[in-house]
Amino acid sequence: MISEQDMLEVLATVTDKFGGFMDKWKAGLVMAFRCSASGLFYPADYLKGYGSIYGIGLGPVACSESLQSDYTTPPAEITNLTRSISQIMHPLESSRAQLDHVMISPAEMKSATPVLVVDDPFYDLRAPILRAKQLKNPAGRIKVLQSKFENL
Amino acid sequence: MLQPVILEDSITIGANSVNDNVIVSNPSLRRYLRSPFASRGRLVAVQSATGLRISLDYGAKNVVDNSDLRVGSDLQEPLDVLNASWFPAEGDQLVLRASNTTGGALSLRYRIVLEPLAEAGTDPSTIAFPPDTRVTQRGPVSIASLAVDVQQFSGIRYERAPNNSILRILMSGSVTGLTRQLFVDMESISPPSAVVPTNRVPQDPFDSTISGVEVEKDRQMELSLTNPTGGAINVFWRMILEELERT
Repeated sequence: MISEQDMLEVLATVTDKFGGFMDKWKAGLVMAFRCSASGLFYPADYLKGYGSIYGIGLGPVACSESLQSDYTTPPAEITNLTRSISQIMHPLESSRAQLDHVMISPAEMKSATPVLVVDDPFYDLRAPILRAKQLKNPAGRIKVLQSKFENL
Repeated sequence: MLQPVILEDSITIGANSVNDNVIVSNPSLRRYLRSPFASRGRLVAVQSATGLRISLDYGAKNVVDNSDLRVGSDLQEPLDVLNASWFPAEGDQLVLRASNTTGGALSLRYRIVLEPLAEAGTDPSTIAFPPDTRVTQRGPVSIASLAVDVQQFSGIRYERAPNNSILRILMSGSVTGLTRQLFVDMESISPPSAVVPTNRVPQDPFDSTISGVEVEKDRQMELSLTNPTGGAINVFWRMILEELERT
């Protein structure tokens, strides 16, 4: 009968072929999925929860649910129904980017944790973050519209 | 020579706002606000992220009611065709309405194709217009854990068939575990059956699950969902009512 110690050694040998998983685990690193579009780290259960709490409606193949700005489509026009300039921005789009499996430190994970769709279904938390980026991006056109709105 | 008219555009719908007719928002497309001839219409549409709803009317008739769309940046025919069977007469106004109830701006990409049935100026009484099809599409709709008989058609425009029609339903669940039943009035059409876990807005014909159901005018349709699992499941469905006579 194989002892527990032998089992662990066999496991370590096998998993080492997949990038020294045991060493990284012992070093206190955690599993995550990095979105290749935004660089944000999704939790280790992203694939397990895909379709139920993550990636809802994005199809059967797991991809990133992160948002990005579409600078090629102009912002909506300011009309007399526009109540706030925060309504005007370049459209947001689901990146559907590739996810890469990574082992990172908890601090690194914490520094780039995304706002999950399940926690923000109506973009109340994510839209201001992306709008701020649009204001800084040279490709963005909302800065001009902002001053136009303020002068109305 | 009879040539089709093909309108295509991508437009931003501001956060928490409604665009009453996206066609007029593009000055180049305004001349096609009215159908230039008796035609067969086809609507294809996608949204950049979840949160938009669209409706399509021609003249005084609704053919797509308050529907959700696939998330994508490319129009894929025939998978993103929402309704390919509506028949405006010459001069009927096209109204494609989009509403965005989220806090972020989203874009709608759409294509409307009008294939002529007759040359412009033809007497409409000499044209045999086929019956229209009416469509409603929703999703994601969250079905709570251990929820029983959650009605999907309650309160929507086509809860009762507006005319004698043939009903088709396409469905997709976000994960395994959901079951659905269909009733027409007291008649059980489909006993509790599994919903495929493809986690997407339904694709025609791949996600077709119920078809060929005869529904008389004013009869009530009930699509009832049960989630016996320990977690919430999202569902996506499309209801297609193919009318049997022109109204």
